Amino acid sequence: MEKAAIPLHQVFWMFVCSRFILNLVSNPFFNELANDRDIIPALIIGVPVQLIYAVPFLLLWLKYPERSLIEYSSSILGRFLGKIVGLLYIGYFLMQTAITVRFFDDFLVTRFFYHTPMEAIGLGLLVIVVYAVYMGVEVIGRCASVLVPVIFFGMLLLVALAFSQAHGYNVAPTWETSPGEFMITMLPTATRWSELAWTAVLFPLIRKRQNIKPAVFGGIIFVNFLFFIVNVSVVAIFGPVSVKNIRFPTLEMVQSVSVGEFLDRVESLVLGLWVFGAFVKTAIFFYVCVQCVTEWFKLKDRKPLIIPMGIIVYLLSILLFSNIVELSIFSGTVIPIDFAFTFLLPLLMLLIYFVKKPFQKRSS
Amino acid sequence: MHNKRKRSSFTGLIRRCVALGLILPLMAGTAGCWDRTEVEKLAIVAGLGIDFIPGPEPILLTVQIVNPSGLQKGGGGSSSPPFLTLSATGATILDAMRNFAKASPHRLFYGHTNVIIFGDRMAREGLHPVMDYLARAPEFRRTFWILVTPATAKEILSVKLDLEDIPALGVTEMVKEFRQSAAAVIERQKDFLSGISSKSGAAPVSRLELLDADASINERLQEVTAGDSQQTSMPAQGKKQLRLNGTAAFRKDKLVGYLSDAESRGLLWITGKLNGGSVIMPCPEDQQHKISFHIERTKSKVIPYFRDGKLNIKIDIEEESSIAEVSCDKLDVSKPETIKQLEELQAKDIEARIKSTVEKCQALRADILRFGDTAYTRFPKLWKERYEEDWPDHFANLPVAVKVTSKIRRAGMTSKSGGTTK
Amino acid sequence: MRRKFIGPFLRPLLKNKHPDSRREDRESKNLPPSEPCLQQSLVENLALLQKIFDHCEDVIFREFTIGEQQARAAIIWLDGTVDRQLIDDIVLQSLMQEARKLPPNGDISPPQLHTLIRDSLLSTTSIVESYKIPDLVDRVLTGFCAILIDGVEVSIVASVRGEQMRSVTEPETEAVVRGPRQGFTENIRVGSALIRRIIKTPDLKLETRKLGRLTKTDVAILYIQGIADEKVIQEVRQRLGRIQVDSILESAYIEELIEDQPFSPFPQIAHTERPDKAAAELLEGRVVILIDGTPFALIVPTLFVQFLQSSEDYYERYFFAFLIRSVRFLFLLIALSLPSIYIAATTYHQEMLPTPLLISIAGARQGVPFPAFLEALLMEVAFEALREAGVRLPKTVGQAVSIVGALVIGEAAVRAGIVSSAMVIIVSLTAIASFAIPAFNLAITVRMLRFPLMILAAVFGFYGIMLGYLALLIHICSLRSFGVPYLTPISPFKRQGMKDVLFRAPWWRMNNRPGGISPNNRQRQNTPRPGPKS
Repeated sequence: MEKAAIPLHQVFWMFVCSRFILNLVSNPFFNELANDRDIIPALIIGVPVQLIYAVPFLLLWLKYPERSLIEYSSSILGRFLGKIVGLLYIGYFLMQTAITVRFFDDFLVTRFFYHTPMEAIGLGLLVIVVYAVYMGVEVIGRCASVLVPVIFFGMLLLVALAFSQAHGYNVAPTWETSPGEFMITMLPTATRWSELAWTAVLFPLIRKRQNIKPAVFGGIIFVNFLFFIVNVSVVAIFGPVSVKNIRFPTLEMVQSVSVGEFLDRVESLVLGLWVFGAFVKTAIFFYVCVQCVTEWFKLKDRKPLIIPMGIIVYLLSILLFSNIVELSIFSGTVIPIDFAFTFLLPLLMLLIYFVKKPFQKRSS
Repeated sequence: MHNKRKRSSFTGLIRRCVALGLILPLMAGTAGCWDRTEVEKLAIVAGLGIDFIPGPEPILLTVQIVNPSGLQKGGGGSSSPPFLTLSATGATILDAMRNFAKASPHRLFYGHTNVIIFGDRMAREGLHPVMDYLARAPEFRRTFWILVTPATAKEILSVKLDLEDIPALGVTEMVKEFRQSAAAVIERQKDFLSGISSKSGAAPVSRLELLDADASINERLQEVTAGDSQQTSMPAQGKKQLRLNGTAAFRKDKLVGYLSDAESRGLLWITGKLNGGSVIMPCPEDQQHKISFHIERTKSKVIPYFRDGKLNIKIDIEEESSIAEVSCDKLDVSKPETIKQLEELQAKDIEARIKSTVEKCQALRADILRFGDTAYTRFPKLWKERYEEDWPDHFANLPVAVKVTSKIRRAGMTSKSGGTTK
Repeated sequence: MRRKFIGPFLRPLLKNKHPDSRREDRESKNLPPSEPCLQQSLVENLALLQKIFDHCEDVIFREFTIGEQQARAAIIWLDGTVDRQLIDDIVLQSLMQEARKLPPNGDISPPQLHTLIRDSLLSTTSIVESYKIPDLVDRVLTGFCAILIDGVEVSIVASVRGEQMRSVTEPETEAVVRGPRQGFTENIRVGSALIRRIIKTPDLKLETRKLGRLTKTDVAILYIQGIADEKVIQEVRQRLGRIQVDSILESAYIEELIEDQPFSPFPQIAHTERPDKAAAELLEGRVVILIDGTPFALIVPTLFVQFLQSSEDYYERYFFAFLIRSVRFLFLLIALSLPSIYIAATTYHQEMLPTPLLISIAGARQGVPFPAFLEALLMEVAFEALREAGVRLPKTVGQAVSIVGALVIGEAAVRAGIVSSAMVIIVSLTAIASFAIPAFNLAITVRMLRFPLMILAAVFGFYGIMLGYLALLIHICSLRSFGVPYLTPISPFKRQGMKDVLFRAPWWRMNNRPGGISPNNRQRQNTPRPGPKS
């Protein structure tokens, strides 16, 4: 198996893209907030919550810089439990991949391709993703470092263009909720950091991985900055009440862009950004799935796994949900699962590690 | 090692090529193209009108379709008109749209619909069902302009415009131009929805009317020239024209009444959207002549406050203007006292206008002035406790104070009136 | 056997006599393992050589005697590759005339005579001794003249090259408005000399080897020691060493034999005709491969962005380069995807076009019998045919082709309503954009890739185009050229390199050589920002 090495800045871009991209298409955040007028304070207060949230995983990575999550879970929890935890994570990653593909399908079908079967759209994306995973994580990283800045600047441009439609009174905070309540409201947002879990798998492949801290914290802050820019403008444009009813707020914001006489309907641009972003996210998660399975079975080569697993993801993405309502509800109920995999389990492992450590030292 | 890699990539490439070579044309030929429509097979809808006719199929849709071959330039005498107007009725809006399909060989394409016109009756019945469809259908975007007409939308969409080939596009241009000069409040669909769903629960919509402006002008001209022996022959009937005039006030999704042109301007004063425009008022000494000001800059502030446990609204307006036109005889605008006097007069004049707008809105019980929203932002708890429930009623009885400060900055390029010394 | 081996070199002369010599020499693959040496007897040697050069009428044997000893000798050369004047003046003059003036110190033995001739008689710069017949034959064939003396088993080989060659002219493929007007010629020595004239340092190394079993083409590896990456140089040596081929007629032969990913549509080795460009690449730490017989030099390792850089960018002020570069990237995208964007926009995403534009396209397409995809495909294919016809035909006929193309396709087809005028505009814009890509080989790639993108656009609209872009991006990201990732300054990101990608930084800001190519000796310049000293 190749020993890939991804530079830190590419990890940063992957991290950012993977978290941010769903925002372009689904935003449960608007419905979690009691009053969307308070979006500015909520987002600002949310940042420290997310930073603290990342700490357990971060510490865990740094304890085992040479091994991946699947490998050290056995050495912390013992062979049997560790294997089970590994299996759970594989399931989690598979689910995440399938959900991403499904969101992507639904978005395209609802907005752009009313008559095209969803299956064809998902197949198109997965073929590209499988190709990328064949090429290895280095290639995914390089693609990310090309695409994500494009997405970022594209978003900035779009927000700037749509800004003339914004009304300040829509985001004037009322402070109906106290800062403490905001923190609780922002918890679900923090649990969506499933990127922490994939970084745990890719960690031994990262170059200069001891310096991961600024990349991760910087990534979280950067993503929140993007959220701030995009979501605040969305609320300012559509108003705090109607925004809750809009299925694809970011897309609608782009649709409202009108500059001069010519730059009128630029949502195809957002289609491009979304395809790029969805590709990066799906490719990372799918790569991590394959990598986990390879490590779990202690296989030499991951390549034979790629196509069968691709088919599994494809089928999951089609069969898991029968309609968009189920999908939205599911993405709401998934919060405890996310919480378990991105916070609880690593915290548990970390605690066990600290408890076990003195004993191990004594024995050696 | 190297050779092996080469070989595997070679077979991989062959496989990839074969797969691509098979799949791509296959997809292009058979499976793909679900959503494909060639441009020339689309009927591009430039404007949509919705009317309400009581009965089993109450929704009357009128679309204005662009006819590209009627627009070809230099293609000889274009026999076909540049646009067509189609109508269909249905139980719901989708039903009516489907009925179009029975009559039109091309698919109706709403991606370029920029303006939707509601008939008076439709607006009074409530826009909710229509708006729901428009928000759900992916082809419509949330930035189209909403207009209400006291006539029917069907009539409006059948009128030809002078300088534009396609009237609906002309109306869009008109709307944009109007917004630029801030002569009326014109709302996009998203702002309308945001307005009626806000705590104020009301929104203004611009009013588009059909009128025979030529006819009335000609009539007056005829009066003037009545004594003349050489009568100019002017047709009594002029061309019908579209005109943006006044504002329709919506409470929730229902139309409750219209504001006149002057009252609409008051609305702009309050919401601070006035940029440009002018104030025309009689001269201080004689009412016969007029003096007009160019408005350079305005700043408005709606301040909610509680006095004796009751909500009050104070409207603070600062305005800067310059003198544009003076036809008064005895006015010397080079004197500072005169300027001061004019400033006060102007402030009073504006104050009166705003008051009349507020009164009209209160009479209609439609808070299109966003007082409710502003008060809620400022005092969320109190407002929710005391006023949320029957806001329209509270609004109707709300004490409103208006304070206008006027400043005259410039007096144009001459100092004396008319430049003709007497 | 020998004769057959010699055959192909003189094929033009021998063609009539030996119609099937080509097939035969393919059978005689190699020289026999034990290489025959020269004998002492001149008669035997000459007989042997004459047998080898049988039916090679342009190989001239001239027998004569040296000095007063009347030692028998012969001189052999290949007519046409040598300068006869040089042979007359330097070789025959000195051996036949000057040698007579030597005081005959008694009898000189043939070896002594040989030494005397070698050391003091032949007044020419380049002299080699040859012992073996194949070596001698090779040298005769490459423009040396061989002197054989009776009783000596060594031959003196003197260089009297004087072939007909093109003079140094302005390169036709990479024209510049401002910049040197010299181009490489087919002669490798001229090429290396032109580079040496630019870079005057002994660190500029040149390693020559002969490639091609029959053509024995000179191939030179040039690099600047201390700047180029030792690993890359070693890799170049290895890859050239692996080449086993009959002939090298153009640089493309070598390009195809040493590139990293032979199945990629993208060119992975850049070439140039300009010595100044070659020098610039050397100075950035790259390796240049010069090939005899072609004016094109290869440059490795090659990055994708190199194909969008032209030497003009560096010879004009950086503002100009800034503008041109960014426009070029735009043109690359246009040339790649404008037809597919047209297809996607008109058949899938009509709402994205501005209303007046949509109406005029709809009007133009009124009555066109083909769907947009077929229309675009037809026009693109027609255009490719037109271009190919224009390139291959003689110049005078080529004009006729373009007239036919412009009139028939541009005018009549639109008038008849077979294609829309919008499509004609799209195709011509695409063509113009593809001409604006400075590297012809990248332009070819872009032309090819346009077609799959068009199919994807016809299937999935913009989504298809995006998928196509992604597949291309993954492919480009996975390419490497001599160990350097193909997309280098962009991804993996290199700050120094990025100064020369979308725009060119002014010289006083490009302090270091672009990263990623070579880790050695990074500093390029240290001039502070110019301006009057305050």
